[in-house]
Amino acid sequence: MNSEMKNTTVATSSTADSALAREQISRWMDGDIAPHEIELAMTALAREEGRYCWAEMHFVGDCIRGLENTPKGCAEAIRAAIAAEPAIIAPAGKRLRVQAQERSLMTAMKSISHLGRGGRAWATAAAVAAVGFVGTVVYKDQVVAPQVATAASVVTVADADVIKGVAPTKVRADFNAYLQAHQESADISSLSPMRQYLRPAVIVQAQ
Amino acid sequence: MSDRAVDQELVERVQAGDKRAFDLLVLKYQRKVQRLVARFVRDSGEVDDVVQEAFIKAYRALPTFRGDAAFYTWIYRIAINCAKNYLASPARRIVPQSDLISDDDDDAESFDRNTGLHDVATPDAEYASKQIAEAVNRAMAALPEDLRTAVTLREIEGLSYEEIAAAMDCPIGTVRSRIFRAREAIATELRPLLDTREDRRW
Repeated sequence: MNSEMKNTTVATSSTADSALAREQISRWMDGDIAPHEIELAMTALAREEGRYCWAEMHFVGDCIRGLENTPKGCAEAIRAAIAAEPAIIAPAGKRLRVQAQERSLMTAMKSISHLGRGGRAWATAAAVAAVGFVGTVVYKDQVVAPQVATAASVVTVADADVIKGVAPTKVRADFNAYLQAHQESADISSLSPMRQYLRPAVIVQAQ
Repeated sequence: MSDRAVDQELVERVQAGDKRAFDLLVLKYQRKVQRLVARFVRDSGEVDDVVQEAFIKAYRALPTFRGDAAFYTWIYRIAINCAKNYLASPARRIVPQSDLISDDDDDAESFDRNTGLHDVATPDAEYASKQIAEAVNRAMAALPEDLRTAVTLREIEGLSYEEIAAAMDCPIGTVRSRIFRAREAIATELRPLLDTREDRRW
């Protein structure tokens, strides 16, 4: 194959690829795309010609809808301004969180499929508890982390025990001060979902 | 996947740190937001300032966007608030209340295309817009009937590909092809008008 033929073949292939990418972008902007194709479309859109195609096709749509007589777009200026902004690292979206929990549950169910009926019931309960725990971690931003227990709340726990006729619990008086000092000096950010369990663990039974 | 789901997919990518996905949202909604803001703000330069501010505020607020509302209603609301704040600032002139839209009427699509923006556009911009409108009309008229119907059902009526396939009694693959070919034909007609840097609309 001589170089001219090679160039022609490459050009034809490139044109075909380009047309394919443009059709994919056209379908993606209408939501007519399989989940596994989304990454391909986003890869095409990451290139400048892909971005141009996306903009052009939306412009065509706006023109058909009669939005052509607006001022010129300001996407370039906005893009420059956004480039100066820090990238967002937000908690995963609701859909992603739900998918993560569903995956977790499905994995647990698969792993217990060989057990008997009774075993599956117990294992299901355990799996649900595990998903609940995962949910607690995932939704940690929405969980109001309890503050250091106040004397009033500790007294309420002790009173409740008296009412039930259970031996009253005694709280070590110095523990709140210790816990507060610990939280101030230690890096416990990574433990934030667990923090709610720390305080009950330090209530000791009366002798 | 609905139009809203496409936006949500892009939003989640932005929330994961992908700034390019936000650029795609800007390219998709900038004209609608411009049109909306132009109902409040008269000067075209000021419209662009307010639109930029709205998108930047939206970007900064995206970590809190959970997808309970559609992205476009969210960005429209931000844009309206930006425009109102802009007008309320002491340095700005007061626009008569009758010129403003009501809070309930925040859909850029419902804006009458023949009013409002003529105060904003310069004569050059008006001429360019007229040329574009004529080119689009010419391209639409030149399309084969089935392509014109498919793209009209999609762009104006907002039908999904499945609905268009049912309406036109053809396979969904044919709908995909017709819509794409119609867009390409119109884009080809528009390209000479947009190919210079000054006339770039995005």
